Amino acid sequence: MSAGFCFSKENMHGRRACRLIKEFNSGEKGQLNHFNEELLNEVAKECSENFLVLQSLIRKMQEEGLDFQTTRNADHYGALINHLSLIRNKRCLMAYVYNRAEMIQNLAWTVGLRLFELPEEIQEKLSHPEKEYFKKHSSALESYMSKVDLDLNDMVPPKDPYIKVRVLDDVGEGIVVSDKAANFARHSMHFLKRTDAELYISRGLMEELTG
Amino acid sequence: MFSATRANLENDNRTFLLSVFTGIISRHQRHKIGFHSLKLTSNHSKSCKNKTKSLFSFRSLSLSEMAGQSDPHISLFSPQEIEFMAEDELVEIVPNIRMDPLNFISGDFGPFFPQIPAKVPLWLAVALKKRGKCTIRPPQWMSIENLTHVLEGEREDQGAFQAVPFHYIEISRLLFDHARDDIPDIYMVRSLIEDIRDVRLHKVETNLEKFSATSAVKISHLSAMEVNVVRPFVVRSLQAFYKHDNPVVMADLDSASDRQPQVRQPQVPRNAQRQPLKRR
Amino acid sequence: MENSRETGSTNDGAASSQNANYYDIDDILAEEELVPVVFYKSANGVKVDPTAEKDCVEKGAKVELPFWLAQELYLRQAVSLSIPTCFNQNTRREIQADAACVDLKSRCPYFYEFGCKIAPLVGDRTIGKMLLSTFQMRYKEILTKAHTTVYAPASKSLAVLTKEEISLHEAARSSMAAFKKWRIGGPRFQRASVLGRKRKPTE
Repeated sequence: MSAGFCFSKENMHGRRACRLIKEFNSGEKGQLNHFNEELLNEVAKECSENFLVLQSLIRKMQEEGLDFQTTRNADHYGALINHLSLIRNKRCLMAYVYNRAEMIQNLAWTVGLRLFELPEEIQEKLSHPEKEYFKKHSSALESYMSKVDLDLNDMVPPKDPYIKVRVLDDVGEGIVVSDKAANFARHSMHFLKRTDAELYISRGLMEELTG
Repeated sequence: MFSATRANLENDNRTFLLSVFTGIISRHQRHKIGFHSLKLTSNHSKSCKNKTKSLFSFRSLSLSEMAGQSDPHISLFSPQEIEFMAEDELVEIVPNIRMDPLNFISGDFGPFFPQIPAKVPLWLAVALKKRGKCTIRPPQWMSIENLTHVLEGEREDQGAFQAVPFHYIEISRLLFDHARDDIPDIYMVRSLIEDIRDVRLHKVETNLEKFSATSAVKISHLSAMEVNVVRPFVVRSLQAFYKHDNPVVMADLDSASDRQPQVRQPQVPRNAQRQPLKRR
Repeated sequence: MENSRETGSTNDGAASSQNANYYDIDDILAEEELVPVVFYKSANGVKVDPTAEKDCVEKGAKVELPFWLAQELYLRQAVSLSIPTCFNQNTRREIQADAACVDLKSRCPYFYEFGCKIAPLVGDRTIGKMLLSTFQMRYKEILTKAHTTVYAPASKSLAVLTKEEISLHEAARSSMAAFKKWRIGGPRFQRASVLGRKRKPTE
């Protein structure tokens, strides 16, 4: 069977959007990639181009005195294809932003409510609006939790109120956990309240010791 | 529930349960509300004994999306969560202290007197045991006679599963971890339970291999942990089988049919009324 | 809902069932699979035919279009479709010969999803049956692999699986791995998975 020609040239309709989605999907599952602002803008630009062509084709039909609702000429199909491409590009853009937003919300639930608590390599991957989104989502979450007086970030069903931990990384000086101020030097071991330690463990700064 | 804090042994369970109660659960726990609240509202512990569990009903399929959902973990509890549920099972302890009654949301326990056996939830038993305030009496099913009998049954009947306590894996593990000295013949008991568990898991796998073009499966007497281990895979496979075995569903899934009259309608085979509940 | 407005208002009120998957990355990618088409009509102002000199496509042009475009044009009788290569007789023969070993991934990573989408359009009932029988034949293999590779993700044998098959495999593997980990015991609290596995070098 003759396969015809491949729909692969970069300037073909929807190619860039597809690349954007594939990029989101690449890498390890559940891991954020860098926000690709450049490609995103290119896709948005393509949307505008689609729209301009669409408009000009419809205008042309109108000028020719044709009813663009019923006429089925080359201009109609051209407008149709541009229209479909625009919808498709938009879907890809929305999916890209939406799925990233989901993951960013997840960060607030599982890692920490403050932007500076996120590891730098994660922060770098967020766009400026995404950082704002994170902050606002976190503060909404925080005020909600303080209203209902509950910590909803429990990772694991609780067992003991206290657990033993080892510090893996420089936590920073002058950290005060609820009942005491301790010197959290690297590799030091501590007996902490589970609720205090949980945050540091999820950020990878401490690990739980068992046995 | 709140009086649990008075017991000073309280496990932080309060927060966890409360978050379930208010129905606001962190995102990764959201899909589990149903199961947790079941535990709070129904007499869960009683329902565990010798009761046939219909495990993979079609209803549970329709709860999750159709095949192709991107999160394979959607219907999975973590083993820690299953263990948490198991901790509500009642066990008998023999306290060596005197203590006032404890009033929990799941019921009132105590008062406790030295050497007088009392029934308490497993989490409380373990907490008391850790502090040297009691001994735990292993449940009757953990006797060597019973376990040997169950193991023989499992080996003889490859087609069916023996009735075992719904949380036997979790309960036995918690007791092995925290009440070694209270279990007579612990090595024997432990190895019997491990054998039972392995035989059963193998049987589950053999069962799964037999699946073909089916939308619902019923396996009786599986335990909580066993169900949980196979749940994500089974739900997803059943979705796939169902989708490919029912052209009607396929047509529904596709937006093509309601578009334009000239479109060829997907052919519907004669037997294609939905039959979601074929049993194997 | 948001989605229904998005597609509904712009698209003849169709695509109702698409809405559920509007943001679904896999669904989007499945619709990127190419379908060979022949144009019945010409169209102006489009870049779909790489051989055309101008931005247009001529009547009779043979092009491969992604499904999302091919479907809509077909429904408006602007193109005719032929069956994509991953569902042709050659592939089917190979699947019949040894379903478990056929490299479906390289043929089409969204084999089943794409198949479900294309079947009603090309009016070929055998595609549906073929999808079912393929899945039946490969299912057991996926299951066996899943249980033998509890600790070794993404081995070579996974290279032939489609996206959905890998998800299935992963569903089985990860729940079994979580159970075994629980059985052994150890830390209950873990670094958040969204942060990835590698740890920042601290030494």
